[in-house]
Amino acid sequence: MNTLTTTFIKRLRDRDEAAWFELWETFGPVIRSQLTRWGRGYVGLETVRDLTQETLAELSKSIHRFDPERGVRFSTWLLAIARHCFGDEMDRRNASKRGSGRRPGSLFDGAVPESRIPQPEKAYEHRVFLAKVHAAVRQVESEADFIQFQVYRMRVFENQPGRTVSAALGISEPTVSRHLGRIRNMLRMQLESIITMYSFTKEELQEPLQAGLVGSDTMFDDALSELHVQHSIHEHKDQAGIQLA
Amino acid sequence: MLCIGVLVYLSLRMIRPVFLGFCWVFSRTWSWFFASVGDVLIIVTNLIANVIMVPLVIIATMFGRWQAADRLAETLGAENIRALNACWYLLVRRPLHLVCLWPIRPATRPRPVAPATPALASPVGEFPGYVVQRTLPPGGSGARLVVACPTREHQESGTSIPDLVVIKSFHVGQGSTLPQIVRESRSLEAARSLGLVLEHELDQERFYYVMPYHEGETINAVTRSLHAATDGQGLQIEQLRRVLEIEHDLVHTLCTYHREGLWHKDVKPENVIVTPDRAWLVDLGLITPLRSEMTLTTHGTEYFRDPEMVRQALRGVKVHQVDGALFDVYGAGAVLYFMMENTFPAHGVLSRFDRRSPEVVRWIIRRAMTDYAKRYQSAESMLADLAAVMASEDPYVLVPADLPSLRGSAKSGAEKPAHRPLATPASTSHAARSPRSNITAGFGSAVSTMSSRVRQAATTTGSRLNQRLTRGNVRRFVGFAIVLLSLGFLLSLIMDIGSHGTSGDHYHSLARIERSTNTWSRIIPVNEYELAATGLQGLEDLHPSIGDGARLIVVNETGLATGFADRTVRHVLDALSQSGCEVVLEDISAQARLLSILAIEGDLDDESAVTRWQVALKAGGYTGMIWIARDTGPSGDAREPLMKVVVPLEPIASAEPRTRRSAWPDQVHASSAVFCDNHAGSTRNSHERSSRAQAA
Repeated sequence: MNTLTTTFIKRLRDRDEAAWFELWETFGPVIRSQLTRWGRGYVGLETVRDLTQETLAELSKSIHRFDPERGVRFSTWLLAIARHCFGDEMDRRNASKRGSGRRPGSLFDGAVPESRIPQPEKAYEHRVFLAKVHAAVRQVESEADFIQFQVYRMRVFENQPGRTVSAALGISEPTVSRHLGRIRNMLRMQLESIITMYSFTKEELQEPLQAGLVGSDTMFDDALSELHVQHSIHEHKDQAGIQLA
Repeated sequence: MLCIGVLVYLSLRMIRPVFLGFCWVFSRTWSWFFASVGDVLIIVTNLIANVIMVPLVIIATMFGRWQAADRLAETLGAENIRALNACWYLLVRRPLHLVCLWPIRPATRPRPVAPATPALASPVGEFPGYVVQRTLPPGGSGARLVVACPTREHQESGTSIPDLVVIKSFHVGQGSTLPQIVRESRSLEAARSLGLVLEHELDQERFYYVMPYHEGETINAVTRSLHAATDGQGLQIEQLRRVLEIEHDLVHTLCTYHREGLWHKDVKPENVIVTPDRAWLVDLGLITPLRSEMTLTTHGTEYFRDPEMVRQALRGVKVHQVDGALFDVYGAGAVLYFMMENTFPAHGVLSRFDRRSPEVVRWIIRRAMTDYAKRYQSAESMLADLAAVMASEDPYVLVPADLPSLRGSAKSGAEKPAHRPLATPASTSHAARSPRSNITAGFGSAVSTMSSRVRQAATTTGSRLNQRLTRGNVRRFVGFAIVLLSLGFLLSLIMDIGSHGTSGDHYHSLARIERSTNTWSRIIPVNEYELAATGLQGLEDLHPSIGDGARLIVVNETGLATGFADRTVRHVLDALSQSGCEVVLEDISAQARLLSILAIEGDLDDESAVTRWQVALKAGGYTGMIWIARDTGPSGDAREPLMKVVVPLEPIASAEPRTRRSAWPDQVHASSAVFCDNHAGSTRNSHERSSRAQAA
């Protein structure tokens, strides 16, 4: 564990609203997505939103119990809290159905098929990693110059040739390269900072390496573009799920 | 056999009542036992609490921590009363109840039932001058929305009112609250000048306002129908044009709002009504003056509300410290995204574009939704970009470099068309669509005749030249600005020291009132210690109006704080009552009206504001106003409630010019009551009292 992580946990424990907002922005969509997946067909959009908020509220109550030294991923812990919130909601719903003749305890398993019972599966962990990468991109977008970030977006995320980008924005090609380099450096630094802040185990700290985010510029750009696209696809699916619900 | 049968039958018949009787006795004894155990536990815990808290109270009293001692004593008192109650139940009531001599109510209290709506002086649903046609679904605020048409007499009374209007009404007896009413009424005057509100009325029980009714669909419905024909591939050129028209109307309306100093704060698809001739931004529920001194709130709708606004609100920033117009620009960008993608922007500016759309439109959306400091600096800039896209033959050919905002000519582009003001209701049906019609007409005309390569080359060369020129200008400008800022800072420092040298914003505002309104102010302490030292003697001497027959209304801006501040305020109110004043606490409509003026004008630092304030007080038949506000320190941190007793002044025009007070007292206490009047004769007395108070 590192200074950034401990500082962040300390901020959360000190009820720093900005820290909670950061956490909400970063992990809120992942939790919402997971709850939507568990509750598909059983709970609606509003309930998913309520449950997401409830999960964060429960987290705020029990943040003092989280011990990063134990080596448990923060995301796994968050998932466990989300699961309890979801289970409570299902219990409440089924308990309110009179005459069903079933014990509330048995309803959660009945309502949620075995395959949906939350486990810290790889897909979920990957979503959490994508959320961290997205948080870093969002942070850089917020800090960087608008044109410079758009250059990076067009060049890397949309894979447009340098000449097209320079023509579209009315800047020279060397300027495009310069902007590209500057944003790349910012992204590297921000990724390091964010991933360090939200990672509590060695495995989590190794994730950028496995994803190819540590390497040459080309490798970095390719890996980041791939992760960004993956995140966008997940996000798109979630949106579709939310709209359907 | 018969006897045996009878015996068996009788015994069987007897078993049940005996069993039931046994159960009844058992349950009664059991419940008595458990209730008694509960009572004993209450008594024991109370004893423990006494053992712990009594020394604390004594220590707090010894160290002079009156507030803490007071709070602890209050808690202890409540606990002791609870324990005594438990003793009474344990020793008397429960034993009597056990032997059926005293009924006990069930422990669980019945759920409070909302009181029935009281009979109303003016029946809800009937609005003078209007005939209600139908009811609309209520919005998020819970207000009642009805469609109505004006009566012939009302239409002929001189007001220009369209044939159909929407009336939004809030009723205190039906769940609406004072803050809600104040929020809605805050910007009515400005909204009225824009033609958004035709009439408004505030009486003892309800508040309503009348708006023009636009028959149409929301952007949600329009977007669905536009995308239904595209098979998810993106909008065709005709549909794209329609979307841009709607967005243009929306941004144009926002420009008008911002020019009038208003911030809509809830720009979202549901709040834009699309009629065949144009799009209308509706719902005035959250409209806020851009210069408001209120604290920023997080109201708005997720995905269409800038996250930066939430951050700032969490920091407790005031509205006038941010540029609310930029948050509206974010909302406009999000609405355009919604129309292009048929879904909400879940990740703000980083939201993905899945459908085919022109690069320039994407650019406009991103520019509108990017970080607060980097987005379009006004709705006009965004409007200029939209106009450029609409004026082009084929938006797909345009590149971002062609947009006025990137060329650095956004301002001229925005100011070029003399946009029609927001149409007044009377002209709604026949509204001329001159600006947009002109732009739209150019959609098919030959505008860009240059080949794209030539244009690119020209743009690149031009931008390089511009960059060189700009760098030199920027350096000069920065140097000049630094010198100016330094001078300004020094000047303000000198003026600040020279004027009064007090720290809180509150005193600055009082000084401004004094300077601008020919009034004088004085301060008497109502702080707990100073109040104890000086008392409230001579309160009635301060102004001839305070005394028999004076009618003072209490306007509570904060909600009374508990503890000493509450009691201090009550003490002053009691003193005023005893001196013959009538202190009115309940007139919620007058409170709302006065608070509304306070909210719009902030610290009441100009003459018109004070005049409106006086007029409002006089119209309500009040002699004065007791305004309870929360004092804020120099850094904006909240302190104890501050009470100001304000006696209405004569209209400014007829007021005699008076000598200004020479200097503002250097040492004034944070909690104070301020008495203002325009009687020169009482100035001397007041100065004397002020000196005495300070000496005390």
